[in-house]
Amino acid sequence: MSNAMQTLSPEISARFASIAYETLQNRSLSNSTHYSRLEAGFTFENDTLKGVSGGILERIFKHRTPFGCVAKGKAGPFKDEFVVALRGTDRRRDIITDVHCGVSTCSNGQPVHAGFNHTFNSIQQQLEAYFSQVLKESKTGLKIHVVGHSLGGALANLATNWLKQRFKANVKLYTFGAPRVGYPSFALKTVTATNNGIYRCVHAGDPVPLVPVWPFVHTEDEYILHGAPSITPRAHSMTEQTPGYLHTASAFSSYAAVNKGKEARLKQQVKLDYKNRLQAKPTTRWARVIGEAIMTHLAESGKLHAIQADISNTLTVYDKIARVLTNSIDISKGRADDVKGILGHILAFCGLPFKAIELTYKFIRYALGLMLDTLLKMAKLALSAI
Amino acid sequence: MSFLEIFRKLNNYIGTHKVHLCPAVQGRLMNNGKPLINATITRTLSYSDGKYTEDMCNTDNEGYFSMPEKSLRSSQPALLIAERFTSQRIFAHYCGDEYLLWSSQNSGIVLKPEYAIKLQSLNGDMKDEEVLFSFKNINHSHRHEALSVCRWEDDFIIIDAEAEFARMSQGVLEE
Repeated sequence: MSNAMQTLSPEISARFASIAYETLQNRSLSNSTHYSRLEAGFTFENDTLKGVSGGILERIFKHRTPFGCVAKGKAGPFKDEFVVALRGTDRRRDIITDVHCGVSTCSNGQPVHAGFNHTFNSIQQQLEAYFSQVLKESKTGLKIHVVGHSLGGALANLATNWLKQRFKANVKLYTFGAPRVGYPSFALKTVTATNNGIYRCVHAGDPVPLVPVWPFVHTEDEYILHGAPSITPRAHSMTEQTPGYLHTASAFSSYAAVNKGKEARLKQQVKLDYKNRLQAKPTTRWARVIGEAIMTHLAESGKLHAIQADISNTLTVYDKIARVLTNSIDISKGRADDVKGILGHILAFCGLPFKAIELTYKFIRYALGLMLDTLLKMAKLALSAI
Repeated sequence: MSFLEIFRKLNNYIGTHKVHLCPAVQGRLMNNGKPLINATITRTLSYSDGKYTEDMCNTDNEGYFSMPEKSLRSSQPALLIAERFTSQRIFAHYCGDEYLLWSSQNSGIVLKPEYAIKLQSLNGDMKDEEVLFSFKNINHSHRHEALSVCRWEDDFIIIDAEAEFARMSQGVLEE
């Protein structure tokens, strides 16, 4: 098996995603129950590298806070393959719910969520130090499985692309309840980098994979571990008992056995008429329809590509969308009616259907902001029902 | 005690939510059938936001020891998206050796009564091997798991990690 690479089973990848959380605990990993189960097939790096370099501890990511761990396959199906497991949820801030986000460029040159990229950059050096050492000793090239839950899943997306770029490594990506990371071009590059070895697991009721909203997208295929559709606060948790990604993943012997789905992409052409704005309700369906209408308008103005390729930290993507919508107003009456229809629906979606509309940049940006806040509030409502 | 250490400990009293870390612990330790006298027991209890507490006690002339219930306060449960779990580690130190009396992870911020039952009788002999075992979960079909050198009469099933790993990777090989 020279270049062929195994696929982790759902349970093994879920256990890695869980053990990544324990790197934050002050006692060593080796006393955890996940560790004792994985130890049969993997060596965690404190065992092998302790005396070698001194600097690489079992918590190699001790940059600010530990962000995960690295393990190497022992004899058995995963011999000489590596696993990078990344932890989610920052202690202080919630990057995932930062909907007013900026965009920056990642290692493959594509635009991604600036917050995720910033966090990844802080752990990149430790990965560099570790894997450049390993690469020197390796004869066949690197095989790396990258695993993560939640924010860790977003970081895993970035890590996968970077490891491919930097070390020409064979990579596979396993995420649980990860948010959207980048624009369609980033998702496409990720699929190419992993040679389609992406196992993006979700629970149908998990709200985190629904953010950030357009124009961010996932890689298209998804593995639905738990199908209950009502959005519940607990559906995002890794370790919670019901459903809990760890438990739902353990029910499947291989990824081939899991129900597959596809992310619904914004593909429909949607026009919204101002007169019909009262039909808009604060539901996820209408969030999608309004998103589709905005995308349709951007595509027709020929600005969609420009927005997706334009990267600057000073303007968020929603600033740019507002600018395009403002510019449309002066072009023709048809265009202006389009914008008016979109704005009317946004305001109705936010519960303000009779607010007077001004066709100015300031007002359009305000309406978009209002919509993002309403979307976030919906997610919060679901999450705070504990 | 350094300033940072004092600050860390004070911080355990600050937060919006009470996190139950560990119920009261009681047990008796033996060494080849004789009571283990004056061994040091250390307990480290951590919460998933990085906060932790440490305490210790010694076994008496009959090998008995006990530790109180513990909790801390944290604001992390108030975050929208946060992984909430506690972990418990209890060690016995004797003649320079370290024995793992208990290691577990517990989802959520409330301890489950099944753990309390197990930790009420932490009886072990230092000659026994450390094992991974499972015990009953009253609310769910997934059994709880822990690592320990101690043994229990009932509700105690030892897990063979090697065989379990073979089972976990079986689906991979069939593909």
